[in-house]
Amino acid sequence: MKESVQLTKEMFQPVKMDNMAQNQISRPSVGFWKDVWRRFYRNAGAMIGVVLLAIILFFTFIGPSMGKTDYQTQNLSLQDMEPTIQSLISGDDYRFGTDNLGRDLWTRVWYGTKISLMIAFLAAILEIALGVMIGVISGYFGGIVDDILQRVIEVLYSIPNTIVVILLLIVFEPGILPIALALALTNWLPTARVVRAQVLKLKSQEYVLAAKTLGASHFRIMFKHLLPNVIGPIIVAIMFAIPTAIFYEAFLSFIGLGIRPPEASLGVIINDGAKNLQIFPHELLIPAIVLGTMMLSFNLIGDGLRDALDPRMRK
Amino acid sequence: MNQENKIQAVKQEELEAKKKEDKAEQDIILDVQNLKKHFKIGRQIVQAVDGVTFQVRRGETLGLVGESGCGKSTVGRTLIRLYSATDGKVIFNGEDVHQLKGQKLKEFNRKMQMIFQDPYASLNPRMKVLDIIAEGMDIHGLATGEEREKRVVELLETVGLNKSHLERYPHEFSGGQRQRIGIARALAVEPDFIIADEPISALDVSIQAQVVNLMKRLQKERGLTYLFIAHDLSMVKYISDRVGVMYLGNLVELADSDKLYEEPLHPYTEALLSAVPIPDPKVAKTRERIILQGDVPSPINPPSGCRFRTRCPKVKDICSQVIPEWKEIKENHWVACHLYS
Repeated sequence: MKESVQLTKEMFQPVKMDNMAQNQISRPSVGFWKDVWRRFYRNAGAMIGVVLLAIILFFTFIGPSMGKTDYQTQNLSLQDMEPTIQSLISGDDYRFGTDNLGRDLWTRVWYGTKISLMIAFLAAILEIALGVMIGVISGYFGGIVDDILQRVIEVLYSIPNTIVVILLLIVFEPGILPIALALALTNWLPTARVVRAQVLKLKSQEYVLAAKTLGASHFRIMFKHLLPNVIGPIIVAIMFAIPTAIFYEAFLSFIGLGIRPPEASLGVIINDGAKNLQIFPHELLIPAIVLGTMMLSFNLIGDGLRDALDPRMRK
Repeated sequence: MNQENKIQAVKQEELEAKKKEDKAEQDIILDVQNLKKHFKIGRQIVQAVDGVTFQVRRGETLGLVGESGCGKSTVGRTLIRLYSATDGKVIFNGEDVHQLKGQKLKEFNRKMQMIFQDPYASLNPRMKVLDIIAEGMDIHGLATGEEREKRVVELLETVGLNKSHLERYPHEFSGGQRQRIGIARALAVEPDFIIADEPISALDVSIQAQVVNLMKRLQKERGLTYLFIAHDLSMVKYISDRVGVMYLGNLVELADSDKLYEEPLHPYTEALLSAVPIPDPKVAKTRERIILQGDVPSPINPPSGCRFRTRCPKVKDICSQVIPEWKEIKENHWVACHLYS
């Protein structure tokens, strides 16, 4: 049996358009950093980097106190001891063995890692600060200021980094700060260029013009409108500046211009180990593996951050 | 007695006439005199705007139309000091805009504001709506703390948004909503004069009406004066009281919008208006479309004399030698063309 339905005019009412409801945003607000974190978290490579770096950082803080002796105590009766799995796990003996002066390699490696990281972080921060400052000024003011700064950068680019660093280290006594300074002074150029290019792109954006028409000062435009929008490239630059600095520091120590013995950095330890490479390879291999792992994890994190901060750059 | 009355009446008349004159003078909010803006690109000079003269009366909407690259936006940006003028004067409220300094400049930054073309580029992606709209207040120290937030909420409501949007970022809004946030930002400093630089050309047609109607309502409520830059002729006609037509850095015609659309005097205006689509196929079929020959010449090396002569269907000998004078042919109808001299 069919039921007939009566359709009356009253049943049809125009739907009222609610302007307020139309403008409602139902989704929760996802801030910039939350979004970045979500993308970063999904990146397997970057997460591996984070885990590796966390392990290394853990041991740089805890490791030196786990060793048998401190980093510079020599025990000449126990030279060039090789590490064994048993000693590595139990910690009864020297975990990584000893070097050719009978110093605990475990303590030395983690202590050296700490020094290397300190130099690298300091160098990266100084380098970014200098590069960002010059880059923003050059890009924002443009004209003659830009011309002069760019010519200066080009001249500096043409001088080989190593020569500048060597000259600087001849003048200053090698130590953490002088090495970091020397690295920063030679490595800020690419950062300045990247930031300048970004600022050039951004400064003609309409939101910057809007700030200008509102009467914003140069300072306000640079810090409120330009810098927050180049933060992505800046962070990526930091993440790539750190491994570069670690490597450079190791290189300088290797050629004898870095940290002076008995202080240890990874470069110094590798340099010592290289002398005994054919007889006691562990003295070179262990610090080299730590150095390589650290650089790898920084690079992985840097890659992940680059993709997370600027999804358009992903291939 | 009679005599006295007469004298008084005459005096009264004189007074009134004077008042009217004064009022007419006062009514000009913006006076642009022979404004030029040239850009240096390498060794070449681009004459983006080359001698533009017009006045804007308080409370009106002056439309500015022309094809891409004719210098409309450059005029707008030079008026508000985003560019410094190469030559000429911009008198706003009786003061030369390009000479302002210090406190007077701050005052000017408040009184003249701008709405931008691209709603996706005109809001800083790293700032919350609250901070975007309050930026003007922060710069000029108009309000802080709760008062600041309260005023931002008021502004949001004025443009049809609400409190829940305060903590949101620009990327969460649609184009039309963003444009309204841009309008709220401009209104926050209580301006008298707003330059709208193609505010609707990046929006859907349905949203265009929303934004234009909002602008009209705000004008009524707040007594705003607009300079409305656009290339959509029908929209310009709808919103403008008077319309100026630009071609290659020059104003070629300026008149009340009805008059301009009914009776265009300059051959370029005629051609431009003939390109407006008419939503009636019968009328559209019978209408004669004027198709101009060639392309717009380069502003680096513009033609001598009248700049439009290379494409003008009514070109005469004099056009290549003498620059046509910008003058009032009829009441309130300015044109620069040798046909009318």
